[in-house]
Amino acid sequence: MFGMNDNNFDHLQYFSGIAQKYLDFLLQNNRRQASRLILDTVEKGVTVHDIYLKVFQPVQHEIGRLWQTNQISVAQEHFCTAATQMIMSQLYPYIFTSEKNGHKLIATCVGGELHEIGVRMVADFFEMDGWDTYYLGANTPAESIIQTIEAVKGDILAVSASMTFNINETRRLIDKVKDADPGKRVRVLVGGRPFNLAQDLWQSVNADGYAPDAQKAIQVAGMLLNKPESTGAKHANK
Amino acid sequence: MQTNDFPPAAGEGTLEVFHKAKDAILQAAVARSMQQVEYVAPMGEEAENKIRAGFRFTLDILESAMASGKAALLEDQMTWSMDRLPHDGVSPAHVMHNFGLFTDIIGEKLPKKAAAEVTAYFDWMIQRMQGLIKAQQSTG
Repeated sequence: MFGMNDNNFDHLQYFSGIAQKYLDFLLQNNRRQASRLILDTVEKGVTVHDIYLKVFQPVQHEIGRLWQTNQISVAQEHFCTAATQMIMSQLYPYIFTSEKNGHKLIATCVGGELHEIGVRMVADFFEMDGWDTYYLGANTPAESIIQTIEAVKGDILAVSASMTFNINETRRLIDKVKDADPGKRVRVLVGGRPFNLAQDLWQSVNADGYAPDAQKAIQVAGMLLNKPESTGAKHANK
Repeated sequence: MQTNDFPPAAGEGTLEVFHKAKDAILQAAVARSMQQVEYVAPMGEEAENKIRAGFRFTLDILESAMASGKAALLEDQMTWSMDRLPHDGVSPAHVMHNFGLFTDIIGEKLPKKAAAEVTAYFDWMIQRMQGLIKAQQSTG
């Protein structure tokens, strides 16, 4: 073990070292080594939560920045993201082990939204928290989402929009869900970059709540289950 | 950030006419932009596709910002464009030029009241872009 519970252990330095190595492997197109690094790290006792929040999340942000500043190509960006999603799948034996709490989450991207890794992380966090999760992925039509709510009797619908131009589509989706019979019992939680930029935006799209990240999403979902009226940014940021 | 000058959320009527006219605005803007050889030439053979995609992106984001009245949404995209677009052959000056072009076309395509509401957003973006260009120049 690394002595991670020692007071002197430098978590920040440790995780930034892992993240840097992981990024380097991805940029070298070395998916096998990237995967080995993560699996070895988890085997040594690091939690999947920490891998998601302190390795995958900052590395994905850095990959986005590298593309934005033209230091990597679109193809490299897609390779890195696909590799991380594959490695997330390899972690599922560690994720799908939690005792169930009886709650159900449906997680999806709004129609037209192709950036799915964030909401996939959210679904995995809920799964680790004991929820049954139904991850629908990118660009899901409203009708399919409503059918799923009905089929699985979901408690919370998590909707992700990464691109600002999908905000209006998010509102249309939420309105459709709430107008449909199966949607009347579900509470809608939104997240994604535009909601982080303008923290009361969630109210404009008629959501019931908002959370800035996967960990806070679990807290807000818990509040929504216990409190039927809207719960948003102020709660999520506490 | 000059949030004080940011226009309030657009009315339902304006949003509706803007949404209906969006494709026509896009077509006219692409056609007019393609005539600006000094801006288009550096973009190469893919110029028209790039311009169309960029303009679609601009109009879609504008629609979201107008519906929500949130300056932060446009602010973020403009900062992003300063970083990214020069690598795609689009200079900040070109972006400013395009905002002016949109303003003209919106004046032609939308009823007067709606055009004034939408143009206020472009005025804000032009002013903001001038600020970003100035800031970039002062930091070298």
